[in-house]
Amino acid sequence: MADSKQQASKGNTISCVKEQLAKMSDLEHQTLGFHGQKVQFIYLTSLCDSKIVNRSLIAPLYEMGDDKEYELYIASFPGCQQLEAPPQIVAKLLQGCAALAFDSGNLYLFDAARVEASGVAPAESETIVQGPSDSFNESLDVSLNLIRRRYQSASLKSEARTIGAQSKTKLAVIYDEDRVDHNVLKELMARLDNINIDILQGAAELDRYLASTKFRLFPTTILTERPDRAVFNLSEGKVIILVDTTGYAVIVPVIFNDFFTAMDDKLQVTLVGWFLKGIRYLGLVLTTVLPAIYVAFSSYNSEVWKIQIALLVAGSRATVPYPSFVEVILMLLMMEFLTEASLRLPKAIGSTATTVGGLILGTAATEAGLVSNIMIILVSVVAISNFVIPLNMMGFTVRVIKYALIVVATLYGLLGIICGCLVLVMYLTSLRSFGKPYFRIFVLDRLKLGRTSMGEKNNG
Amino acid sequence: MAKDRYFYYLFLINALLNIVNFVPKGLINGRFDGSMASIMVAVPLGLLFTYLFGKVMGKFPSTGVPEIYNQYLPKPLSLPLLLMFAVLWFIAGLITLLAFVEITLRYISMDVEPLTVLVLFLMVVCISMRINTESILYGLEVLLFLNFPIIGYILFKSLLNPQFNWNAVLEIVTHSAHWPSFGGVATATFVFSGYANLAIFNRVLKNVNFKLLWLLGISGFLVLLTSFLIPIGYLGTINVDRHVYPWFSTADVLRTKNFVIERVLFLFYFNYLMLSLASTILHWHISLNMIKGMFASKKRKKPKRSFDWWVIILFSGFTFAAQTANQFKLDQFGQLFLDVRFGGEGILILSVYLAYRRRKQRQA
Amino acid sequence: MKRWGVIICTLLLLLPVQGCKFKDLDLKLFVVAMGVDLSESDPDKLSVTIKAAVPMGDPKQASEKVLIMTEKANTIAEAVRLMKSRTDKELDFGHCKAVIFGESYAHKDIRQATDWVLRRRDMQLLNYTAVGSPSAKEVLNVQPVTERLPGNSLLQALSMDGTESPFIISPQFTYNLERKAEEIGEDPIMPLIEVKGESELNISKGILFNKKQAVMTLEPDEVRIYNILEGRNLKTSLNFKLEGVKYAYTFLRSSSSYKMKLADASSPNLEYKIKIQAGIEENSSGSPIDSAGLKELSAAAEQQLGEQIEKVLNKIHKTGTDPLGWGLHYRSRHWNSLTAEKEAWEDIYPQLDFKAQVRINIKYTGMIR
Repeated sequence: MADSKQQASKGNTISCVKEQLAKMSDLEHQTLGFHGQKVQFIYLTSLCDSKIVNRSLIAPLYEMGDDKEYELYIASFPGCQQLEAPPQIVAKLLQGCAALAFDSGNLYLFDAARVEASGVAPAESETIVQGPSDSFNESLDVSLNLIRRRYQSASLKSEARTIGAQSKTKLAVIYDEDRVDHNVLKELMARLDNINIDILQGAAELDRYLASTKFRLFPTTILTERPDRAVFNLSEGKVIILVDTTGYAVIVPVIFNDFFTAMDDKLQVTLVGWFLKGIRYLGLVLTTVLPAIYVAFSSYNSEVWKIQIALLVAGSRATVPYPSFVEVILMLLMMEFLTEASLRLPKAIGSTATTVGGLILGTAATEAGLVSNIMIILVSVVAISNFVIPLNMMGFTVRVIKYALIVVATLYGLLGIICGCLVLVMYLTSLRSFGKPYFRIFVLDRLKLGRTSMGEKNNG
Repeated sequence: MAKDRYFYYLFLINALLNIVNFVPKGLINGRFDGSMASIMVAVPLGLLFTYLFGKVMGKFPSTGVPEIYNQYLPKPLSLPLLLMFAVLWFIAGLITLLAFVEITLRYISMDVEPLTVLVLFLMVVCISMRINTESILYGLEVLLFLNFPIIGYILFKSLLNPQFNWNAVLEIVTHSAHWPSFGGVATATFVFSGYANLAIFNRVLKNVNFKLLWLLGISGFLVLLTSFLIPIGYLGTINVDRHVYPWFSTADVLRTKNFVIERVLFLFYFNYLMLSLASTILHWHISLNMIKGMFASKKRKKPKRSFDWWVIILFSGFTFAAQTANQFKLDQFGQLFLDVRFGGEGILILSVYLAYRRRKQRQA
Repeated sequence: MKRWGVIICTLLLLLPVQGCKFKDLDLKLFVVAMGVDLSESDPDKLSVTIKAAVPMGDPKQASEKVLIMTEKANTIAEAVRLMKSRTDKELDFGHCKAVIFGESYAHKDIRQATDWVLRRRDMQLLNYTAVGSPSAKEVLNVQPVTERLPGNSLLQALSMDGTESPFIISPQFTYNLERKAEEIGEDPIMPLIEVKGESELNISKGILFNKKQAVMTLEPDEVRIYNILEGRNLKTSLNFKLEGVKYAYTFLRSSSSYKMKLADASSPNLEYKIKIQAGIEENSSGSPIDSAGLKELSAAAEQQLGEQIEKVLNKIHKTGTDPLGWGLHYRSRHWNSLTAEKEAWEDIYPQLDFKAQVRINIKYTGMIR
């Protein structure tokens, strides 16, 4: 009686599952019989590794004599679960599990997921000169492995979360328990719980959902593909969020200065490290302010500079038929097109585009008298110094900001630039990354962050 | 909670800003009649004020003056007091702003309407003054950090220039033996009155420790001497009072060969542009918070967001109205404010002390 | 988002506001120097000359073009306005670096020009001032061959960045002029620029001013003495004669200071102390110098320089001017009130007696003995 009931429920379960997974061409439903017993296999071929299914499930079936033994064998696998309700089964099947249904009514879910990841490849968007070149990849486990290997401490915790109603993307929130600021952690968890979306495709997207305000100019989280950066930040008491299927990790909270740290800085002699950092900030200032200064200088404040420079600029601008700000915006846009084009093009063609655009166009434009010589120098400086910033997210922001400064410079000249910078500074200082002040000059407090929280713990 | 050092920034920005707020002008007017003596008196007096206010605010950790008043003083007393301080701080910012519009038109030879410049300044200040109190301190730190080296360079350069006439400076020093004047003392103490900003910033500052009070004294004294004497060394003992903004004229006197910018004036101007706007942001932020304090009741702690915008419109309106005054009126107004402010500071300290006494009575 | 939308919209609305002041660099003419003369035809009018640099297209070209304009009017402001209607570009005084007063104008009254220069907001306080002879216009018209940037050779000579002649008075900027013109106990002095032929300027004289006009010209030798007295390390050489042999010595280091001795009210005196370290540069006899001879030479040089200095001091004293700021020195050492000091100094100055104590230490004889 009970047996038949179980039989029925099993039959129901299977048919129920099959119904939900109807119209899926990659659904595989096999019924294999041996010793009079039947075992049903249900899995999605696209998600499951056929090697695992063949080697671990089907082959032993025929090697073993007894179905009881086989069941035990199946149950002994780590990651193998016995489950009942159809909705759970469907979800698991969609994660890449194979379901095994025995005649006895027992239902097992066997993890046979095929993880297609690109392997541990060298980092591409954050290259460094010396130092490790591996990067996170699309598999959460591999990424976690890269971190754990570098941070062998029991205080390193990783909490799992799943986000996305449809995508069910797995996240791992990683932090050093002793060093992390627990307020930040609490806020992060709260924000993660508040995310209600269907699909999470990338770490960058998560970054957007984590932000406290909808509109912001500056990135308040770092997206990195470098495990060494992640580990370095962990040791500073920050939280890393690894997102499955993306190959990137999100670091929170971050401050402005973090965007100007390249991972080679640690490898350099101290003095050289400082120098390199200084260069980067100089690059930041140049790339944001220089075009605006050109406009201000050639249209408002010609008396500020030495007369030699004034005459030089005036001379080289003599043939240019439009006001300075049109000239600047024209050339800058040209440069933006160039960078965008060479970013998306295959590497082989990319260099051609740069040569044609940069060299030929620049020379031709000056010779035609459409653009002044000095403008060309300036645009090149702006373009190059923009790439000095190690993290692309900040680089993109800076690319946009310089246009705002050009606008104020056309309105008010140097006065406008200074005021614009002031507002920018005030805006930056008003930003918070998970409750932490975003922009400060003396960030020495930051390094103490981990230690103080540890000290407090010891005291308490 | 911000660190101790931020208190010193509050002092520093005020001390540096004396140049824009007519302090050198006031001292130079009395250069033969006791300005030196006034400076000597102002230094200990300023330090005393700083110490007293710091101590008494220390009794109310993490609270601003509006909260203290609302809690411990009767409404008929607290409201006018808050209004008075809101007005005082507003005027402090207003004078800086108007003076800087003047300076802009005078020295950065742009043929621009004063109104246009004012609109720009107002936009900057009004956007920035609404950010939270702690952020303002961070911003202040950044700006001081950026500008301090340049100011140092200019000071150094001005003292090493062979054209600097030490005899003229000595001549003023030999006029020290004179009774100090109330106006002179009030003017000179402005350098120290950065401490008063604690009225709001006490909300985010920890108990300030006064171990470095001597440093404030020395730096305040040096700031006063430089801002008073260096223009005299360049512009002469008699001629100096013809210059409306002596320090900007002094900066115009300096030339550097090492930069793309040849005239130090521009370095100096852009420096002070940032500092003045920062100081105005600071002052108006306080004024805004004082006004908010007036409307804060026990039920509703914070007024609505739109409230800020009404205050901004009010401030801007007053500023545009005040802008119509000519240079002599502004000059007189600036001098007058320096005197009134001195009295206001006394009232501030006394009133907070009164609140402290009442709290003690209540607790007893 | 909405807030930023509002901000961007206001910025866009402001765009038309800039229209009128937005003036590109190539629409400007940079005035580098200006001169003020008395008009020859009408003594009441001024003749104002400006020298402006015209930007050229090709930076590789050797020299820039120059524009020189002269206009007569009652006031300088008027003259400048008249000039504006003669050019297609806006005159920009922001880069003006020198103001030259014509000699006849300097002898009349320079206050009008000074006032304009100081009051005008785009004029720097750092304009070099000088007197031009025969007139400012002619000085500005000279185009030296060594000049690349318009007016630059004039500026370099006046600023002593280029040549370091001992006959050029140290840079006198407009603020120095203004300060000295107002100061009690100090009077202005300016270098005098003379035109020599078409493309040469000669700056070797100085002109003493009382508060408003030029009173006396200092000859090149006197200018050199003045420069020694001013107390800076001067690069110069001086001649002297000993027993019919002509010698010349160069300054290695020099310093000067003075003391006022006012204890005796009837004959107050002012004693200069000048210390010079020097080396022999020329010896007309060609005979070697030994250490005893060196002392002799020093003594002779001291005595002769002392006489020269006293002569110059007395000459300056006779004009009643005070270019070295003795009055201010007096004031800075006395604790009386301003008026008391002023009156006292006015009493003392005419009776002042000058003395010079020179100590020359000839240390080297050059490469040969």
